[in-house]
Amino acid sequence: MPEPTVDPVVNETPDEPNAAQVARSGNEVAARSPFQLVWTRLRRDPTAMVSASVILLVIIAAIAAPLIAAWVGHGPDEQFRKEGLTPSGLPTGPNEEFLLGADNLGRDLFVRLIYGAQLSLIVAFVATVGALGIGTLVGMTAGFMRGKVDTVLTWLMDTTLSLPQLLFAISLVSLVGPSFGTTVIVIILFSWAPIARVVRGQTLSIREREFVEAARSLGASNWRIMRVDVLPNLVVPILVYGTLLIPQAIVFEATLSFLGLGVLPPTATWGNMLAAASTGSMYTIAWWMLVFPSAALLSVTLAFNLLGDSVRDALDPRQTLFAKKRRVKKLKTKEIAK
Amino acid sequence: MLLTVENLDVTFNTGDGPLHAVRGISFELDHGQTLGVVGESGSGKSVSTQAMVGLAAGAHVTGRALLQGRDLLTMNPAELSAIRGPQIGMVFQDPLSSLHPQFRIGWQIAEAIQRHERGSAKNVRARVIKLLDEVGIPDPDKRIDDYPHQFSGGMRQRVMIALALALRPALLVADEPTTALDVTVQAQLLDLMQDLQREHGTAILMITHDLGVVAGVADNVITMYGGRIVERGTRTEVLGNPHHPYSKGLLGSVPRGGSQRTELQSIPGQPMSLLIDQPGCPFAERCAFVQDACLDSFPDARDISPTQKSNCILPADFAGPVVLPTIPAAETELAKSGDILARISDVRIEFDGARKGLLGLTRDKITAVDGVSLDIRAGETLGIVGESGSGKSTLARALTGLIPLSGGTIEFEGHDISTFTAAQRHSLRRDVQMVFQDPFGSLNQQRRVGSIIADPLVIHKIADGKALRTRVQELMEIVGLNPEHFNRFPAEFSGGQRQRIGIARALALNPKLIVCDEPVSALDVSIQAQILNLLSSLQRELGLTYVFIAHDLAVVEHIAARVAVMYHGKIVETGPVEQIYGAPSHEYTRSLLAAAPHLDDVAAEAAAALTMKIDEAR
Repeated sequence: MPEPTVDPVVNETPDEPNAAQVARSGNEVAARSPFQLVWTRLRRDPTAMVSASVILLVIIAAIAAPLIAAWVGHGPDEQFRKEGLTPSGLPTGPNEEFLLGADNLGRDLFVRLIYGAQLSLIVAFVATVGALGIGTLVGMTAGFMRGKVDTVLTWLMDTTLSLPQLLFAISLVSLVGPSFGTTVIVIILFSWAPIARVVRGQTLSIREREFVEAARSLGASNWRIMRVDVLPNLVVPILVYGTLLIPQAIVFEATLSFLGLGVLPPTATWGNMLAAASTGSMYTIAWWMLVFPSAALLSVTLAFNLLGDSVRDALDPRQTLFAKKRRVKKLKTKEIAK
Repeated sequence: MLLTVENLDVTFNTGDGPLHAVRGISFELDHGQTLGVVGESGSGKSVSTQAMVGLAAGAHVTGRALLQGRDLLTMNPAELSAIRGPQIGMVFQDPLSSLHPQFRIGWQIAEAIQRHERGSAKNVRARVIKLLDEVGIPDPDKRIDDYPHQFSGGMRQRVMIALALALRPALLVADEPTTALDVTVQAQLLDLMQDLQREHGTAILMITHDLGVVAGVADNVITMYGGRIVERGTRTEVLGNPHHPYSKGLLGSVPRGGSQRTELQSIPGQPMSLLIDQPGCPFAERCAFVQDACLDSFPDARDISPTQKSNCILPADFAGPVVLPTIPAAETELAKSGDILARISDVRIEFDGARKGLLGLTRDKITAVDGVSLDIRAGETLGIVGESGSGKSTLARALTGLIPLSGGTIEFEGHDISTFTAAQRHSLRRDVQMVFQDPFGSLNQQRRVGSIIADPLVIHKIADGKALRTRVQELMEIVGLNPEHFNRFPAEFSGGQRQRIGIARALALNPKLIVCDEPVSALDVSIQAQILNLLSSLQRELGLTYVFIAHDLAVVEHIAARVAVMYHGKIVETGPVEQIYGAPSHEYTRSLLAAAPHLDDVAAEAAAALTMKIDEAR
């Protein structure tokens, strides 16, 4: 039972609280932490739940990729020229042995797709975490310190943003050579700046809030204020931006691989698979080579984007409250009209 | 009868379940009358009127609201929109956001007129000019083409009143119309509304939390709590001879003239949650006279007089004026010593203003504080009053070392703080602490309360581990919070409790001086009284010195021993409370005091009426 908040200094109740008062005090609305509130809202949002399920499914499949490969009996890079290719050398379509068909080298498309998911997700997560880390640090420092530090850092962000991404990526990769590491670094290089800008803007407004002033009046150092007072208030935009950045990173990785600048074949990535489908217009005879990797790419990026939107709504319901209210009212007037 | 509201009931569907904001209220308002609706936040006073005129989005509304015989609640949006303007005018609290910043004010008023009436542009313009003249805007024929930002807050609220009255509505709904304004402006606006009422016979529905405003303008008063009307009657009856324990509690919570040696009668506890649907009296939880019957059903109205009705089971003779008990003037030992704790000498504070010149290399200087000298004596409460823009908050921040001085010195215990090294300044923070105005903004929402209160102790490396937690819980207990709640987030506390958290944080380092910047202005009156009483008792027990900054004259009179009046960055008058309030020497102080709403006059009026009745009975 919640304790009645009896207040030793100011309580003016003349007598001991009587039975009726005691009876009432048990009737408190259970207080919930911000996290609980967000979680409740997310659980009520069907879009969020469906998107989360899709993402969870892909993650589980990616983790279990070796198990699935063992179960199917096909390795990701193994070529089955006899079973996977027709006598004339063309890939076979979806059948009992090859669930999603085989590719032009007779490899199992299903197994490759799952291994591709693994790689795509790892690249996306690593790149996103890296970009968020750099972006937050730079943005927060710029916004909090203001002055010359801000000028230099903002200039750096603007320069990064004004670089032609693909062109720059191509020249960079041709200098260093394509690899997993290069792919991650290229993605981070082009993703941290927008985050830094968002974080900088937020920090500018947070640093003017009264609790920051309160911390200053207590004698807190800049570093402490940034760490303890500013950073926790940046979690919302960082989290939202993070979920929206993952699909961007997945697409970026696919683009690089498609152009042959990302992770090198024969390693299965969605971009490599799409590239294989387009070499020699393979997709005109083997549609499955194009459709399944594209569908995977589309559904995962869509799920991440929708989840990102839902997370933002759940974290800051005020932004969408009015839209929802209007919807409710419309429904009501419809009901009344009936 | 102009407006008859019957059984108005408003429910919102929220993520936490249905929120029953208004629970079957009925009232009437006649032509030319002013009805004051008083209550704290969450009482349903604003929602009920918004629901009435179809502005409560997403609400489920039942009951009847007859305006000149037509039910507003059954009208469709088009019909309602045709009524808002010609028949109901509305003025809201915030004059900053109620006007569109991108359009000229004349255009906005003309638009409202043309929405309902046809007329040539020339005629409408003439009408708008006449309206602006009526609401006291100087040079209306020139100002009509100005944009909202070219007007002050008070002038903008005048424009809003002109807009609301443009079509001569029979009913004016004013929702906290003067809350955001300074007292002198408030007084002018209330006068203006009364003049216009007299001229045109407009009925006014005045919604406010400020009992002083109601005392000044209302004919009849309704007290609301938890979505219900708990008491109604004429102004003198409800304010001078209240019956319902909530009305009494409200009146006992408000500091009024000559209240400095009195103890405010705060209402214990927190406002109820409207998410709980309770059949009984909503006030039962906080009522000192609660009985079992109060919990079962909401009591019927009891006639106190032909015009006064109270929904309370207490006998009619419970009604009576609220008299605050006086406490002996107990000066602390520290205050008796008369030592000077801090001395402010000729302090100037300037801010950079707009850039000027071709390259923007030079800037205008804005002087916020202009040559202020003050002594702060150990153990006293020094009140600083002034209207917005007077520089009082800037001075407070300079005193706590948050803003550098542009000139002059501040000495603390005899040492000039501007010559301090970084380390000395760091330790000065221990002795001077601050309590902020905004109980929501001054606490970091993302951190647990225990860690917020522990902040000063951690920063100054005074305690850690178990000792830290013990100290935090001790502090929470001192300020009247449940020490078990250290693990909760600020969002789980009400405004008053949050202000207690802020006070606990300020107390953590055992400071000598606490600068309170409008610590109660964001709080409801009953909570305000709790906090004021808490500050007073803490001062007695811990020997604190306060600099108490407020715009509310009555609050300062209640808590301070000496008062400084600030105006345009200067201190125009300093002296003991009795002198400033009793015999003000400066013109500005006099006008401030004259403008402040006086609850006392009504109480005196009521007392006189009561004795007359008794005499007649004899």
